Amino acid sequence: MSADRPGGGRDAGLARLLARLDPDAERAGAEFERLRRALTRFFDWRGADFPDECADESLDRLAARMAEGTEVLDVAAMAHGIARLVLLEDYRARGRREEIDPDLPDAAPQEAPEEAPLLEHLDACLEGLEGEERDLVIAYYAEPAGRRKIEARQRLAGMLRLTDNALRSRMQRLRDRLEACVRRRAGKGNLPAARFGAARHRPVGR
Amino acid sequence: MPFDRDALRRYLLGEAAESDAERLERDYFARETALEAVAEAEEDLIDDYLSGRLADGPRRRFESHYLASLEHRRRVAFVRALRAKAGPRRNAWLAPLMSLAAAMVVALLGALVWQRGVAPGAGSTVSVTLPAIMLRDGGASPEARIGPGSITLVIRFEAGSLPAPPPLEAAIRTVDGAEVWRGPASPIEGSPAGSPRLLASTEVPASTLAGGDYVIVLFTRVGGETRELQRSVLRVVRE
Repeated sequence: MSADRPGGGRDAGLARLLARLDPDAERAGAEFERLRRALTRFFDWRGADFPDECADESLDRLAARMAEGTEVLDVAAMAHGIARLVLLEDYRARGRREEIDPDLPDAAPQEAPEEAPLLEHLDACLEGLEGEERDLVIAYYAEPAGRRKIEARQRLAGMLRLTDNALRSRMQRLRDRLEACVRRRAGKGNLPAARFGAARHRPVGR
Repeated sequence: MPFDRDALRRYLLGEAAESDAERLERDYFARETALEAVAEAEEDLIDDYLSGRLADGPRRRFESHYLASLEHRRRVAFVRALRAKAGPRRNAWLAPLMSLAAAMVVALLGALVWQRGVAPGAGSTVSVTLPAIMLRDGGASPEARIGPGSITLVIRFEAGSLPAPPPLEAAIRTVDGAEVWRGPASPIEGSPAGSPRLLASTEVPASTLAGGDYVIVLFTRVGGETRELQRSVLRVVRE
């Protein structure tokens, strides 16, 4: 797996990547975060054991290519291509683990912790949100499914003077933050060791 | 551009052709709206699963493919907890109305029983008996089929080998460990001849349970300590 290149190669690559994403530093940061989110989702939806770490590994390799002077015409397409390779490696590594010792505890345990006091963690994480954000989460999830859910969310968007898409987008980010917070609290001490080392690229502005 | 909801679901359930999956991925790497569309489809899928709205095929696929990932099991547990958190607050102002509505339904059912001689509890009450020993394989879990008119789920526990002094208490947990209900259980004195000996029963508001698998635990309290007596799996099917 890639490691820090000598001479600050990774930092140089990262700087090139950011500059390539947008000449404006702030917009480049936002675009970098979006790219990382797409990568994490890709690995998540494809069933990788450690989506965050696979995403970081992909970003490292992308930055390394840029540091080497590879011309990248389409950053998103290049990131997707690299991500597919990292995913294949992840699948193979998992296959090897199982082949070497079928009784070896899986990197991802089969069951989520049964007694995890999720509601308690959720309470604590909700407390960490701003009051308005907290109310929004509760209101958004008040109707569990079906037509009533759709209508309730449309009403909520109307009250907040947001489009349905804007509300959904805002909620998605809030939910991601909450989920990460709950996972951190619930998983402390029993998460398996990272495959590619500690997460390296933290989302911007969190 | 609108997104094909079925195509997004196929992707999430691992049923999309590889070429379609790649096309969708290129799209969501390039466009935020596409990424959000898949995330939204995932959320709907989880909601439908937790509400028991998935048909048998997709539900099995969801359980065998989507829930094969630890991340996904955690996410489903998280959404379930979020819904549990949001639900009671939403209903707080409705509680008096719900009680009134429930009382009216009970009165109406009582009148029907009186007029037509319908067996008490038919339709409004669903009963299920849980074996004392949980079978880990072979044999399906006991199943409770809850219809739209069901108000109460009566869970009966077969007597096991452990002594079970009162007070008894039952808890219902999701398979991820989130507790969704807890309440007292009443000892049952004597059982009909020829049927398994019953230990206790508890009554659960049917509205508490969405479709899905649950772990039902029966406790007793000895010297101020809670002691687990039995643990069973119950499948709830929403009709």
